[in-house]
Amino acid sequence: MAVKTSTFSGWRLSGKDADAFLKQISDPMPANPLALAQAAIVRGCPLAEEYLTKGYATFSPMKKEKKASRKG
Amino acid sequence: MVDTENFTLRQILSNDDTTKLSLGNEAYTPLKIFLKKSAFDFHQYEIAKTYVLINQTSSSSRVWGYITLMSSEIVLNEGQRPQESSATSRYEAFPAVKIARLAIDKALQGNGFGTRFLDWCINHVRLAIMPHVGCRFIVVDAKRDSVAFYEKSGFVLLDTESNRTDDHPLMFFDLYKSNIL
Repeated sequence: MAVKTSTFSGWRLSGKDADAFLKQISDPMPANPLALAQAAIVRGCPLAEEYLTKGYATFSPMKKEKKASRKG
Repeated sequence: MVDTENFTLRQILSNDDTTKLSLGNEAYTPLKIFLKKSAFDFHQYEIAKTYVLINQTSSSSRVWGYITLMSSEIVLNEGQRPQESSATSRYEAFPAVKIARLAIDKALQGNGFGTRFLDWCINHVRLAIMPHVGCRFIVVDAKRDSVAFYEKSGFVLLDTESNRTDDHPLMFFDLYKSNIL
């Protein structure tokens, strides 16, 4: 059973939920989520570094960047 | 029409205009109410930290989106786990950061700002928290229609039938397994 008492609480896992969770974190991470996670790390690292350096990070829309990159 | 070119993410301030966030769906009203009435209190009393999106080209500090993060944990109730389970763990609990709130104004939706928030959050925890105090997971109680959004950044559902059909399924990002740098 998975329990979360409010948005601002943690998770309490038992029974099948605890077993499923432990199995997921023990098994190798499936290729697709791993690739997506690592892509998120690559995308977000400059933002986090900017934030840690300056106290803020600059966000620009992603779609325009893609268009710009297609234009070379 | 809002200029989507220049936005800044920073911590919420007491004089930010938190009253104009428009999310376009009544189901998201609690997100608006939290920002307007509670976010700064939670922030200043160190309960949960809120980071806001502000338009750089505007003289106002109107909030166009926000993310709220807090310390959390995943606790395993050892006593209730089935005896026949082959899964074992040396740990009774795992440290985590929880995404308690995430919202983007409807005028900006579709431009990737939500993904930007998520990518920044993953890396902020990875660089500023995990190496110093330990933190294995980022967790979120997702709305059902947001599951795909989180999956695109590498979050996974707790893999049980009941969770997959829950209105607010549990999702997590494994910082240890995903860490590549």
